[in-house]
Amino acid sequence: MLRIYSRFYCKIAIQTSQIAKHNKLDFTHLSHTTKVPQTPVPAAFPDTSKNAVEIDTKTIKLLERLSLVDLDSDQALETLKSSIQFADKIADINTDNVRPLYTVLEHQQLQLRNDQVTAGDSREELLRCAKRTDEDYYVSPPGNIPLEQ
Amino acid sequence: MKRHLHLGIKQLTASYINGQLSPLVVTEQALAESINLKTLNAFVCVAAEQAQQQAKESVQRYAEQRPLGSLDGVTVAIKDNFCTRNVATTCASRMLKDFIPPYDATVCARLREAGAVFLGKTNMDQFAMGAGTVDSIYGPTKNIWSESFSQDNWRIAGGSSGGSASAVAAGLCYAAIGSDTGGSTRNPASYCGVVGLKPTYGLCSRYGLIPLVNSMDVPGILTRSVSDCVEVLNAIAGPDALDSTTIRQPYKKLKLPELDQIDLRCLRIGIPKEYHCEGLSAEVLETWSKVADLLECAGASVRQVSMPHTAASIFVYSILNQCEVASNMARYDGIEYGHRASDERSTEQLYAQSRTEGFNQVVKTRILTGNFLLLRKNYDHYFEKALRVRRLIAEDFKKVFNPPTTNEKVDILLTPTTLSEAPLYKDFAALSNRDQCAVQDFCTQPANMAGIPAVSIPIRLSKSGLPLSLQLMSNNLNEQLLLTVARWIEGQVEFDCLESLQRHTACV
Repeated sequence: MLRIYSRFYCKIAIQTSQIAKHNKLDFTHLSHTTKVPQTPVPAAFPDTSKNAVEIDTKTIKLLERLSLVDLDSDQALETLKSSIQFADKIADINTDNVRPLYTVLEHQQLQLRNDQVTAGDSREELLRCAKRTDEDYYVSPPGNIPLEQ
Repeated sequence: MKRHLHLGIKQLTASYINGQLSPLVVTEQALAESINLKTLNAFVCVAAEQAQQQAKESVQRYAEQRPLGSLDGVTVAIKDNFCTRNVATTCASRMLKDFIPPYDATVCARLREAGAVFLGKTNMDQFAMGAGTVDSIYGPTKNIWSESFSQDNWRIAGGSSGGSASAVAAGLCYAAIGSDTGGSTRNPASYCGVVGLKPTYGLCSRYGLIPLVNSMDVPGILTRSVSDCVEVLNAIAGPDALDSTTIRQPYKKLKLPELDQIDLRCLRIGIPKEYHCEGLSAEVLETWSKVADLLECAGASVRQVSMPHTAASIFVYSILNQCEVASNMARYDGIEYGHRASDERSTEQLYAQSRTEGFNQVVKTRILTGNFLLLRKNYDHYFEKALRVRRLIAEDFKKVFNPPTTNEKVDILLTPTTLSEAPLYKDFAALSNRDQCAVQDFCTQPANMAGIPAVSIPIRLSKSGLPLSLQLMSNNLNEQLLLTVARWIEGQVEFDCLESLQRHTACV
């Protein structure tokens, strides 16, 4: 017990010296001409907040069908419009002869494994995650009925 | 405050070996503390019984002098978007509120193999879509450095891995796992005054990490020191047959030189000027300038570089995020798992109703916007265009790390992490979700575009007594150098991650 106590005593002593040293670090004093720009570097992007974003009722219905969530309020529509205007900002950047970067691992060949069963027999565990099951099946209501809009 | 919290992971496990400390005592104290500090709302679920069981097993292993690995008996917390076997994994959403995964994410499995004790799951923005940990069905996470916890006058923890950062800063665990898609590990690390590492894309497996943006997501690590970060990285990194996007070359465990052995004289530091954007606080600027100066004083060559496409990053990120979200969220239909609504009129109706009830407004709007940007008529104009600009951003990094002539090369980039100290909740909540992410993630997003490793380290306190942090970035798979320099800076500034906890317990 005594040994532990003395260890902690040392710890505290170290801390005090740390604080003393910390205070010595003067953040307003630099020894070299700083390489950090002291004023903001302006970024030039077009103001797209006035861009016309036309989303007709047909498009909204399509988006709702694709997304399977409702665009249920004027505020949501406004957010959608302003997000599109936000995305418009990069339209003027010159990307001639620049290929899309889909993955940063583009030089690595995608790993393929042998077509062999290595896992399985987890039917019970998986079905347990579902809210409704019937024997060994998931249960869903009738299909092939278009979404009511 | 429990004194053992000041120990690093190596010292902690050494005390387990020589019997001065016991994993069970450390775990039980952490569980008690998590109740005392409930006001922070760092955890969405504390797995007390399982943690105690794991701790008991650890005690047994130490008694038999056969610890499992380098983290045996070390308390850790996991962000709630990593699947944990038999422990609910909710992504802080109603959609997955009752989801109990039947399997472990690889990161979790490897932590278990190393002997770590899982305390619980940490809070986050719903599906990791945010930069504040304010959009969670369990309520926001608070920053332990807050001057006050009254009403809306407290500081946010940052996000989306705010619960993980908060738990580490409050001494509730020695390490926490976060995820990082646009800065979600580094941003809360910066605000909470802890170390936050985003490893190289593909170094750590994403298997079992519920995806946000597949081409940018990485597991992140939050700790109170750079050495602890290395311990955790060594336990979780390396190829994984279950994730085809892991880098296949074998992982060589990092070993950092001792502090007094670090020589910076051959080191080339770049200061990318575009990272001084509008809105950078004077205190962060001063901190940035000072640390650059410290490096120069130690013999490193420090010079300004230009990365002209930096500012485009927030727009590109926004587009790619929404497009991948629209696709990734399609899996939630309420049939196989997740929230199921009661509308049984048709399959489509059930899908739509389950999703409407299960997602918050931020998630829904991102899905809708993503689907708009992906419409056949918009695909090239937005999605492909963003991917092309993404290449330009990645090439900015290539040009400084691998230039045609070596005298232009830099090894490390030094930048701010966030633009300011942690904002007050009331100020942050007044912004839209997009502005919350676009403003504060300005400096963190580009690394995700390029896949390179980046680390945020706390430097000092602001006038308001809040942590100010800086970010270091390096070339792909150059974690060794990145963390060596981080450790050197850590040694110079001697930031005390637990100071807030001392203040906090003094107040109580």
